[in-house]
Amino acid sequence: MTFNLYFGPFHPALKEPINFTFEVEGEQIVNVKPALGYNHRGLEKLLETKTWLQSGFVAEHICGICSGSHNGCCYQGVERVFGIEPPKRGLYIRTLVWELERIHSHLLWLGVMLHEAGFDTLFMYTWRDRELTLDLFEEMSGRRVVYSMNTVGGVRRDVTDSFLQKLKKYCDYLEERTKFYKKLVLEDSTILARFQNVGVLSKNDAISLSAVGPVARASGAKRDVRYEEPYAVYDESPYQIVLGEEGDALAKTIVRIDEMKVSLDILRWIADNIPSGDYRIKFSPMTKAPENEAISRIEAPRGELFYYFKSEGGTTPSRVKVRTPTFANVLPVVKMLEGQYIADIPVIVASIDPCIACCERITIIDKGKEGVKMITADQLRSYAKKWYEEKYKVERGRK
Amino acid sequence: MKKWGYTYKEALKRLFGKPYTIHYPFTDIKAFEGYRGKISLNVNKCTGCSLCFRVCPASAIEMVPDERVKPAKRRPHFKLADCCYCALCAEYCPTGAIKLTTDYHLYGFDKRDVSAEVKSE
Repeated sequence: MTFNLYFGPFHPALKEPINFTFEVEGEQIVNVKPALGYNHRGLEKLLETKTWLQSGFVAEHICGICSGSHNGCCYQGVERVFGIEPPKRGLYIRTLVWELERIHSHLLWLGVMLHEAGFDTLFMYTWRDRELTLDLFEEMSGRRVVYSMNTVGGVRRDVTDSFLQKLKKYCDYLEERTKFYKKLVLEDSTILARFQNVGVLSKNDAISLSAVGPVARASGAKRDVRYEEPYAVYDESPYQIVLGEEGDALAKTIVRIDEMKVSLDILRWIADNIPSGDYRIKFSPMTKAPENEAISRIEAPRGELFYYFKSEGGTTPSRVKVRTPTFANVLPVVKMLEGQYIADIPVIVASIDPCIACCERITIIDKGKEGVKMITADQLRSYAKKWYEEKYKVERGRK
Repeated sequence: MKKWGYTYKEALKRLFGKPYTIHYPFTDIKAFEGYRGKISLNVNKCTGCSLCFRVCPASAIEMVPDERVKPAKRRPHFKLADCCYCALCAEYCPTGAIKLTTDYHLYGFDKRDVSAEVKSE
């Protein structure tokens, strides 16, 4: 006999608004039904009302942790629409932001993961180290969380030599810390008991369910945009793909700690080899784009981030599509939860590094009537058709 | 592993020493140079061209008539509660009238209390 166990959208063990309905038999989970749609913000529609220059600043508010990735990926797409190639120094600084952000995100995740396992001391250690990364961001970009570093055709601020020296010292310090974390995770009996053979995702499942990022790499699937389709300066950098084997929570932890080491190597390489010259090209805020469409893919800390832009020759994009990594990882987490125990739910859900607020795309929240409703795909399609018809009537009327 | 007496020594040191945390309103952490904090506007430099109003991604700028200047011209009014501190207005200001200061103390009992500095030097 099975019982239904409701988990979320508000739950002490969940930091994000997602609802799971577990069918449990005793302590074991038999079936899982995820339900998204508690935090829709209409950002794709909002992006269509902003100019090409403004779009990146809206995009970086999609996620508070990988804001630099959203900002950079958005402008990379805009540059492809315009056919602009940013200067080399700009691309180096952009890569620096992305890699520094990966370290900050993985440190944050490691803390949260250990907190879910009940290891709060290490949670405080990792967050203290993350604070150093945020200080570097503040010095480089002027803000700690929302950096706004990128722009169409490069980056907005240059880095100084003294900053690069500071960055090298930071890399040396953090390398020691990552070694310490890896040793602790592999040796501590509490962590091993909570993480080993918990939430296993096999390589075949990872590929067939389209897992992305460290979740796929921990199962041994070679899923990394930096490896498949090198962008910015990754084809020259000392980048190496990090793969795990087992696909359990421990493998996901080790893959992320090893990825921080690779990121530190890339940062050191950037500090040594950054070319001199311009870091941006001039871009007028009201420039009209050619009729074109473009996609942009980058490897965000959580996995593949995807942007699609369509231009009909105006100052604003006519269609923007965003797919965040967590959206791709919802089906794998359902697979990982099946057959596990109730006590392991927080660890398994945290092991994919969920950022649910980034991936909401379906629910309609009516502010005027103060109501929330779920709609079907057909209803959404007819609504979109009506919205576009009205929009173009208004524009034709103006002409 | 450290000696067992280490914790006692550390506890005694902290008992009589200053607290490790910062007494925030009384002592302050200085922001780095180039921090994007509170906006300041130099009214004498501002020409009222409204380029800042057009580039603002958060629609946080309104152009309002400034009656102190004769002949009357329009100047930007910053709604700092809506601002995302991207500094595009400062970047595209043709006369350099808009600047972002390192002041991050943006609090008040009402969001309308938080306003930009307006200078006239």
